[in-house]
Amino acid sequence: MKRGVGLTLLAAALSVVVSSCGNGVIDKSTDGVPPAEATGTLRVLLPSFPPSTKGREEFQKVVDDFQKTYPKMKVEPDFATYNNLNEKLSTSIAAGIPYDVMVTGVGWIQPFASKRIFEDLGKYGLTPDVIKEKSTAALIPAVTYDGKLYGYPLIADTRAVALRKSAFREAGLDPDKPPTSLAEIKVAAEKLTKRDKNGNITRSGFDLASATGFRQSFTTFLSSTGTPLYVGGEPNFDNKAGLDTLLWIKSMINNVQPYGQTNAAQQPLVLTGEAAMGIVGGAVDCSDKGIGQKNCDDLKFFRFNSGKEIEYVGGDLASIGSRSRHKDAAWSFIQSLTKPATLDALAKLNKKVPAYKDSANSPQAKSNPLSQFVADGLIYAANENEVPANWLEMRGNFDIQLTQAVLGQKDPAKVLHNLAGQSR
Amino acid sequence: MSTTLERPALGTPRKVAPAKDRGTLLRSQVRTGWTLLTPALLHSGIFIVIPVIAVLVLSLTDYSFGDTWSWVGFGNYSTLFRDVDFLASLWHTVLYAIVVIPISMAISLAVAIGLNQKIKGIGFFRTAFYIPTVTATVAIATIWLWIYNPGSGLANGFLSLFGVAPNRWLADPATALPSLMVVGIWQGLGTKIIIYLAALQGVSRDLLESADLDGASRWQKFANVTWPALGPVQFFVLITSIVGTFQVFDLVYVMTRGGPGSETRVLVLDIYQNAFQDLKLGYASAETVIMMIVIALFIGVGRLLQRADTND
Amino acid sequence: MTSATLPAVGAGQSSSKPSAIRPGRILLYVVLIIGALLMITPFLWMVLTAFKSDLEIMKFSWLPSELRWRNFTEAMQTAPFLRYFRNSLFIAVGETAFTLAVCTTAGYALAKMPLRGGKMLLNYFILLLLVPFQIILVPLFMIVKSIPLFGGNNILGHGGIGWLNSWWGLIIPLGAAPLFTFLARQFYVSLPDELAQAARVDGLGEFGIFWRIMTPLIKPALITICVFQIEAAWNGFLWPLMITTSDTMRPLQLGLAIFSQNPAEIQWPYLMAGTALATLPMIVLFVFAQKRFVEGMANVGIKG
Repeated sequence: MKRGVGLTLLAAALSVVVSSCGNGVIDKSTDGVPPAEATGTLRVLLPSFPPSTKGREEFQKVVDDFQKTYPKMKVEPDFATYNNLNEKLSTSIAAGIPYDVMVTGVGWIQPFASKRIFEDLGKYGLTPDVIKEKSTAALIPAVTYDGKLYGYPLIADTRAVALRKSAFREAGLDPDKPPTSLAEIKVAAEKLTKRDKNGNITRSGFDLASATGFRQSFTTFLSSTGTPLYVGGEPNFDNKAGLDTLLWIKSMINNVQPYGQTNAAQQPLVLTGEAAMGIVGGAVDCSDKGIGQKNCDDLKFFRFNSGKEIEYVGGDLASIGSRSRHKDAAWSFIQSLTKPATLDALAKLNKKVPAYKDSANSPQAKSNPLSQFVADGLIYAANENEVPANWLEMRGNFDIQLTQAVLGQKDPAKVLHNLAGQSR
Repeated sequence: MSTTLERPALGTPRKVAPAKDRGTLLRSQVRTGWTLLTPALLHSGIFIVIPVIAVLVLSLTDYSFGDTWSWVGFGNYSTLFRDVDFLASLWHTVLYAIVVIPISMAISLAVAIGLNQKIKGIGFFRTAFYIPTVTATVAIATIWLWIYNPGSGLANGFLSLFGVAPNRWLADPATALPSLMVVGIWQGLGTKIIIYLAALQGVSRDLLESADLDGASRWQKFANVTWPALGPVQFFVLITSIVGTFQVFDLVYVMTRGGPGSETRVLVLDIYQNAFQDLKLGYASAETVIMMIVIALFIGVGRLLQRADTND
Repeated sequence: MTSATLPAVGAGQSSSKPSAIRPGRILLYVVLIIGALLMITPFLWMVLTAFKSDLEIMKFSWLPSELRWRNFTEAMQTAPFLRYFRNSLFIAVGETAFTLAVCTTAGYALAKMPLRGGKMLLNYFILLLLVPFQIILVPLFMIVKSIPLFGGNNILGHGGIGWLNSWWGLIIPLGAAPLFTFLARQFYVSLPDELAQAARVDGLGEFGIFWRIMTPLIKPALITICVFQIEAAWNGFLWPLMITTSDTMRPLQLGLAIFSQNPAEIQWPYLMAGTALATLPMIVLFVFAQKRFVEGMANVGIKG
């Protein structure tokens, strides 16, 4: 027993010594305090800056700009990865020490706003009319919940389609008249698919870029028929357009592309010629360090159009935590973060395009043909649209069940009906 | 002479040193025992038991990181048994465990015995078998994705030498889980081999030599000397294999994310996604409780099997 | 009882001393070589990939067209990797020392001390193994945040951040895993009690018996624990990510995550180069550790 008491005392003594070195007491609120006098630490969670030396330099520029207004406040960045963003967000919320500024993606705003984790930015003058002037229209629905704005778009993550001119000519197709509707794409893709003597596909006719799930590609194809996935939080896919789209995907998989096909780098297959046509991201490196000029010249970009020309757009969105004690400062930080020069740097670091209004004339758009193409196409933006509050949960459901329908394990119509029922 | 190693009884020593009074010795042993045990009990109490209690409590709520939450009693549990994703995960995990545990234990014991011989290049071989354990999972996943690639993959290339038709491996619902099991077995060998190797050092050489003198065959030596001496470590490997296979996560997460569809969805993946993607922490907690009960059942069965085994 | 007279299968081999070449030996070598190749291949591929260009890396292939050593230097210059290495080393050493101290003592007590409810205690540690780390992440985070008297916390654990963003938080909660207590116990339990009794006759105290007699005998197990714990600490990702916000304490694996930070734009050559460099110390460590297994053998010459 004596020993136990001794140990406890020792531990207590030790902890007193150590705690004197620690700091980081939770701050007093600075809201309402004049910026020049506000003190404390602004905690910022953002996956948009890679924590490399270069990413850090760019971030420091934002901090310097912020500190022109708030000279006495410190900024503590947390460079999380996109993959672990949710873990960081949720533990900080559960532990009662949420971040002041949080950067998330399309699909996060509505669930977090409905849980009252994000702050309504209207209080700081960010109204629908104001954002229209500042930001690309593409991402405004993504930051809107219940008619109010809960986020500020930073950069846009886009998807276009590309074809290999050489493959088209070889198959007797005209590369200058790319197939854009689902029906046309299927006809062309079947002609472009190459097989060995055993019938195994050696070059895919069309890369659906859906190795991990069909949620994003289904949304894209469905939108191109003029049918958004959700309207006002209500499912809009348990209908003929939804079923036709899903059946179309089913008819493509293992017909023009093997299920689950991906290359070692998990990059779009059309860039390396492993597919003759396919979905691509928002930038392409034409230098010798990337895919090279020769590959680049063989590519032609276009957009899906089965009645409506569309381009899938996601992006990074900055929000203020509703339990932040530095909301004024957080808003000021977001203003520093959204200056065009910062967004240009972010776009370059992430190989995406800036989400400000004139993205088509941004340095990133000028730097490579694909970024120029997708920036020009931001007016055709489409994504899941106005998602329901349980969207984070639905994302996984879509990925699982659409695959089951495509692989013939479940009836496509039933799958869509089921998914519609699960959306709340 | 008997070559069966007496397994030391747990706890109480049978004989007592004559110089000391029995009671004094016992008291001093008990005191030392508790002193030695206290740090581990404190540590595990704070960092494991309290969180588990928190999980138990959470499992009765609908907590989802929002401002409000409420008690739902056993609502989460009753929902779970109607959740197709959970049931699929449970089934896949049990299958995975049943296949992977015996195969990987048998292979690693065989390799460990092989590596316990006096052979040339022993250091190289030991290191080689351990390398998968230290190689980053992302590298392991990438190369196995290549091996299993339906088009240009190594596995199909190798099988085509024997005229076997190409398989779709991870992309085929029928073969996805078995393909994953192979990687699981492959990756888990290293640690088990090391433990067996360490244990093989403890097998009494005197006993092996006297068995030699008796003219015992290799197999007899193994069955009568080595195998009984490995008992405690076999038990350790069995328990940790059960726990390890039930908690398989990283490998599935980077290789298939549970796909195609939910064909390779396993319990921890489902729990993780419920907790951190769907943000349903209460629900995920209930799932964890069920999972721990299932593992405990398996361990119970494992202990029964082991007892039967060491008694003969 | 082993009866020697039976003409058992393979009896011809068993009694004769190893001769130069035997079919059994050759088979053993062949099996081991094939096995070793199967084990090493992914690692080799990783090292080869580290030399490739972005374009080469997209296609599945073995050899790079040239040895791009600059991939290694460029990868290491992307971020302060020297600091990440140092941090990982610090965490690994700290965690291993802590684990050895806590788990050997507890393992010995479970194996050799006549504690009331000893069996129950063993079951307790086995039950602890069932707990999946991923799900106690949130409660564990909250406990670490509420460690009293640390990081600005008062005696009740309120007001500050506890062990978040501290070496304590990085090392202590994940150290001393019940797995290692269990492992140590299983090795101590194999040691014969007669040894301890002989020492008692010589007048050695109980702690002395544990420390000077029994623990040296399970050296292979101690090395095993060290190897496993160092490797676990070295490869730790999720926990350090969760509880650190500042970069000054982050370990190697978080540094490597820079290259795969954006899942759509993974910088494979750098990732593989960095990963290969990060794995190297672990392999060197193992090469040295495995020699010690043999050393342990010489010490354990106990009569059964």
